[in-house]
Amino acid sequence: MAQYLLNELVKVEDNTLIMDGIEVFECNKDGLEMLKVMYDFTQQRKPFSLNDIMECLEIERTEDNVFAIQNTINYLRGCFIINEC
Amino acid sequence: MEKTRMISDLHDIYERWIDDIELDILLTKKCNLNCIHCFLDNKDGEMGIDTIRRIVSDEFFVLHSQNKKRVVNLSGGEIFMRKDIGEIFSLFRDLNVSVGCVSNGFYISDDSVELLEENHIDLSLSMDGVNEIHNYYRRNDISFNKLEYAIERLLKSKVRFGVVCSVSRINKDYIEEIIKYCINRKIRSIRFQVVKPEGNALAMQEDNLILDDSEKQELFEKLLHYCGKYVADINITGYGTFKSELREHGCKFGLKWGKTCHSNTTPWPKSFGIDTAGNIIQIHPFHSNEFWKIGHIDEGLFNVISRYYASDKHIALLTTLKETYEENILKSPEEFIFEDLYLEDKVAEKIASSCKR
Ligand SMILES: C[S@@+](CC[C@H](N)C(=O)[O-])C[C@H]1O[C@@H](n2cnc3c(N)ncnc32)[C@H](O)[C@@H]1O
Ligand code: SF4
Repeated sequence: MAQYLLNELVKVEDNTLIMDGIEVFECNKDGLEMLKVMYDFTQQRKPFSLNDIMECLEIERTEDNVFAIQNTINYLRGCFIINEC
Repeated sequence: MEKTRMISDLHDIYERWIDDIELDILLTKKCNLNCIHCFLDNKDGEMGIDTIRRIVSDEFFVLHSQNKKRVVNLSGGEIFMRKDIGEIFSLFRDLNVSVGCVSNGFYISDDSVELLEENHIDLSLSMDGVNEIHNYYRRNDISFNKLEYAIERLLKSKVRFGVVCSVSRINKDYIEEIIKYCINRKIRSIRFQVVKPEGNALAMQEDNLILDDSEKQELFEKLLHYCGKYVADINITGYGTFKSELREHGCKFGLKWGKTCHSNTTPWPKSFGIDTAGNIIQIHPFHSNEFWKIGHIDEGLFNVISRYYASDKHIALLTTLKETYEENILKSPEEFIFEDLYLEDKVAEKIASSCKR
């Protein structure tokens, strides 16, 4: 299963995700929680997977939920906010 | 000196570049429809089965596509009009690459779905609006019904499929409606592209139906917004604007790559096309401008692509893109849509003249 780390250039200020000084987007509550989990893993230099995120956020493994998290991961990866290792 | 350094950097990253290259193969120009926006300037010509066999047995696939990562896209015309489409799919099945195709949905039936399933082929269905708008694009009254049938049939199958939507002034205000329709139907991905004024779409340009720069900018901003808003329901992709390009640090457009890019991405071009006559063309096979042709399948696909890499023409492409990008950034950073630069005749001319320099 693919594993990821948060880009070191990412910061969150007042709900806005900033990468290398550029405001990328505003996060809602769910988004912030997910970023927090990703940040914690990255701080410990531990790559995280889809399963890790689902476990930490205590999300039930339905088809729709797996799609939602995987699609968010793909989206963040597309913006280089997280990188696959 | 600059050029020598670039060539050496390109050589360092060659293996990764060739691994990532995508192919777009124009199987046929024949089609059952004649849509108002279709960029194909004529509907004659089909790729011979021998050419297809030649492609799949090329060194490019036999030695350099050992991972499922390589993407191959089969396009037309309407590929399901080919009687031998099953045979073509099976030729690609054994390559260990990820194969997709595009269709207007008219010929989606139990048989075609079975072929897609058996051969693990992904499908993009064209959908330009809900109901009348789609039919207006497609110049008939039944296209949307056909599409709904196709979606229903595909949802019962194992085929991975999504939707592609071509945007003009006709449908630009209905983007969210299209997205919501897809979410309701449990379609998991949608890609938006802008109608380019080519082929039939030249008449749309005369009728003022093609998006202008500020409308494109507005569309891209909207897409970015919907992308986040509906991220839990659907994967939305579109073309990049300056802002999103900046967000991606220039990597997506090949301005930064290798050591200069924080994600170590590869340089442009990221894909090549093969037209029905077997010409190998940068990016995709619909462009008739001779400049973009880099060789012919008879010379060997791998040979042609490798010969092109780090050649004068390739270096000229990378430098011209960078120069044009820098010029435009200075002029109007917010409105600059990078995608427009590419494959335009004026860019071809600029690159050609910089090759001569
Ligand atoms: C040429 S068609 C071939 C596949 C199939 N016949 C179909 O319509 O889906 C490939 C895709 O290009 C889109 N397209 C056609 N003309 C276009 C144009 N002028 N600009 C942008 N996209 C266009 C179509 O809507 C379709 O999604
Ligand atoms: S857009 Fe597709 S369906 Fe329409 S005429 Fe062109 S090839 Fe045919």
